Amino acid sequence: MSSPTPTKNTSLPKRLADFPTLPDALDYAAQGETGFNFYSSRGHLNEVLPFADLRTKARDVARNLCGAGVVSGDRVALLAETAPAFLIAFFACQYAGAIPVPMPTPVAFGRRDAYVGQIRNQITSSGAVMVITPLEFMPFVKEAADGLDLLLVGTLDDLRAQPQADDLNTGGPDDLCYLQYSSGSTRFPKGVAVTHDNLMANCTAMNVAVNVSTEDRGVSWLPFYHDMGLVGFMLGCLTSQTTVDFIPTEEFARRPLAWLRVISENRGTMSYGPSFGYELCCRRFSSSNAAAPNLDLSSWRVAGIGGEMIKPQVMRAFAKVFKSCGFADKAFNASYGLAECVLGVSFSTPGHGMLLDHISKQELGGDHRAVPIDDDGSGTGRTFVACGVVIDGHTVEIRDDDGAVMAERDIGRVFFSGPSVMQGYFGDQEATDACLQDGWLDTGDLGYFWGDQLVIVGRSKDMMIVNGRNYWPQDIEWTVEHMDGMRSGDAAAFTLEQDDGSEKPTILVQCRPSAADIREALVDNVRSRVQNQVGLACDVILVPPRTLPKTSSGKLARGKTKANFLSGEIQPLAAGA
Amino acid sequence: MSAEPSEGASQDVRAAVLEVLQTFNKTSVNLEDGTRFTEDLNFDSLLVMEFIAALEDRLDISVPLNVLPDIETVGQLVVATEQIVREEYG
Repeated sequence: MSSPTPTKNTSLPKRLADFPTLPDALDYAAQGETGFNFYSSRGHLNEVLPFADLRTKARDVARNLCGAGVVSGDRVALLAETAPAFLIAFFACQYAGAIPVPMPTPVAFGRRDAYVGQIRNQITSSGAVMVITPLEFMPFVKEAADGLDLLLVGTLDDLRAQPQADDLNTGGPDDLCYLQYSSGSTRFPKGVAVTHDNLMANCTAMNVAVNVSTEDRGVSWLPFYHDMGLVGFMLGCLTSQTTVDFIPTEEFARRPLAWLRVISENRGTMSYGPSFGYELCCRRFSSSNAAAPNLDLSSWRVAGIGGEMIKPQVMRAFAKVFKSCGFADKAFNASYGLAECVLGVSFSTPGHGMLLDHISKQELGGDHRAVPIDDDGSGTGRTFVACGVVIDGHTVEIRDDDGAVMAERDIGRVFFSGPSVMQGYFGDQEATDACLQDGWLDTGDLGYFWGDQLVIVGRSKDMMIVNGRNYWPQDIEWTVEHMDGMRSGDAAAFTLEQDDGSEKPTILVQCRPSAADIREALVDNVRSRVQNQVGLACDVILVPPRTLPKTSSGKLARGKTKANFLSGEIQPLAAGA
Repeated sequence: MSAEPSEGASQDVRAAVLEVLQTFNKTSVNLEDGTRFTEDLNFDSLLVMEFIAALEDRLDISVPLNVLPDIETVGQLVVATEQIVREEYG
């Protein structure tokens, strides 16, 4: 049986992403012995891909890409399974000067049509000229690409069967490096466009923020179609020649303790996840009623948390359960970021653990001030986890509705500027202009500064995050509005924050009929339709016609809808009044 | 504790699927062939994975990800599981 790549290179000096382009980064990493390893959830080492092999294979396939007719700047859609084939294709695109577009794999029962529609939207939105997929997902991809004029829809082996060109034409620092569709809804996709320069700036800053050294080894179960998986653990580690042990996301979801087992066996030092990943480990550990697992987590120095609102009680529970395995709660590292900034915006100082700020609910809602109070258990406050210090070479401003910069502990919109900011949403100038002006990105998130610590109190007004997955209200509203008897503007979806930090998905639906049985049926139908199409269980609340507020341009004013509902200005209809 | 598929394997698989599913049936819905995972049983993507892991452990099989999008009901899952058991144990 082969052994995984080592943590340390024998002689190659560590460089932290100071390369002009991604091909340069891989050319350098390939001179050492480190690389990527792929584990199953039963702990079996399936495949080993040293950076040297990745480079050789990627350059080889790059000739096929060019031979098949892909030219510089063309987009190539890749189904992003956690396996060497995806990485070979991703870096083949880099050596061919093409722009890879990672697409999601299916994850749930049913919803075939929704999944096929989602990847079709990403293929057309990116204008991809080719789609590469693992064989097992070919039927979905063929269906999604039906009728589109593409050079090839096939597996990596199909691509290898194409003629090979002699010359390769890699991109320069200002060229686009990849498109990321983790932002934007499934029905109205937005592809974050990032250059090599943007990527390197963020990778350098992240590697510095968590003090990456030759002793470090990454372990990750995050999907490659998500920014934390693609950039944080694939590109971030490759550009610093750091070995990573990968566990496929779906395998983690089935057997989460595999994550901890790999960290323990390989002496992993850095691993990230959303709160729910940690929660899943606790839950599965306590339900497995196993004796204390034979784990040694003492090597884990950066246990990163990000991707959704951080739940401190969940993290405390994890630390308690795994303390006997050598896990130190000082390893927790809260961070904040988004794909529009490549990935990382702020990181906690490694080794300091979580910093908690307990603030008054009254001022939080009323004056938009974060006023610290004692946590006396009376429920008058909410606890937030500080997301750390803004990365080197970048700036964050908290601004009010008029664009003025606010004082410490004033809560406002989080704006970000610096070399990591994306170029825009691919082919969507309107969406780009809406969030990016004069080099400042409007993240859409709400937060405040506590000294130099950035604290996030609410993520993008629009995006709904449930169990670590992103959902977009537009998709839910579209689904409801296209049901029989419904009209455009009849639905508003948002989440209601609960005291424990979780978010409850809610849909307000304008209802015209007054008969009790019709109303009850409507609630059931909406609920089941949304669950089937979007995959999310929502509370459905009926409201009178013409109560959902609109913007001056006639679009749904979602933020105002939620505020009016919370204030009681929008009153629910009795289901059977 | 893996089932040994032999004669009556199909009956065993159905029983095993229902037995595992019952432990995830928080809404106490009557489990029939037409019972739907998302609408009737409230399965989200996380619960699906937890359930699949339990089913894999119970039958000592490996359920490939690409079968999931075509499965909406309990009956479809039983058929798909029988197929996997046949492929893995002949």
